[in-house]
Amino acid sequence: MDRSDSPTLVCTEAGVFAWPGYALVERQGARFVRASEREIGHLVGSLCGASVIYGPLIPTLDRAAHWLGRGELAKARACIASLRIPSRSPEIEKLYLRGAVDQLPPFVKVFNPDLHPRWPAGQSDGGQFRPAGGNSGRSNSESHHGINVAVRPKASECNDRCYRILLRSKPYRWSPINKDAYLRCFHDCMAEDG
Amino acid sequence: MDRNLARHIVWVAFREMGNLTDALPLAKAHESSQDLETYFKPAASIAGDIILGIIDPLTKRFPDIDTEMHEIIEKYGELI
Repeated sequence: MDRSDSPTLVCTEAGVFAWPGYALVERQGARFVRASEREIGHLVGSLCGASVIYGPLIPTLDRAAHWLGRGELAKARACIASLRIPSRSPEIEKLYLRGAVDQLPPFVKVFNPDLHPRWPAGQSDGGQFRPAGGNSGRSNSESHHGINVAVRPKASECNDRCYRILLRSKPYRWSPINKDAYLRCFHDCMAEDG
Repeated sequence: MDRNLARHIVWVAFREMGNLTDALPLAKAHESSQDLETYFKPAASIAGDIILGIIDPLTKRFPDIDTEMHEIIEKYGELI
């Protein structure tokens, strides 16, 4: 699998994919649908730099989706070829390939529930941050998936934000990219304040 | 937990997660019914729970299992 020389965006009959295989435009029934601007911005922006987000990327993907929907693969490819996408960051590329959550990019804060304790759910201030060091009123056994029960609402919110990643097309059946991307998305979300 | 047992659990969990999440996009590719959308979130949430509750903790405990998994998939195209 040659990855470093492969293009950042590829247009096929199945849709438009960003290296290393994320679907930016994909078939849904008879239509081709573009991923959200947020998802595309997060993915392509992290790979190639923020400048790409302010270019014609989104409208070009929309045009490509339009042509793919009409069976005009050559025109869709021409749209994608017209984009001037900056080179991928080798550092970020390495992280995407490894997909290791223990090697998160330096700009990602890792959420530590011990540093940001919350009052437990089910009480009037449930879910609100509480002072560190105090007793949360819960035993250690009351945790779920290694995530403190008090931050479960946040976990649910993060799952709502990230679950669609698991349903994206993959470059091949057993590719772990969706699993790795889901974990990154989930941990990024958990690391956000509020 | 023994590493071999952890590896076995990760392998099984990854396969089952893949089976579940692959089924609905496959259906979506052949069927435009909006009904399908109602099954997407539950299926993906279950898969998310498998990742967060089983695969992630075990691969954090045994990081070489994650490395091995990626290497095997890269080499053979599937988890053998």
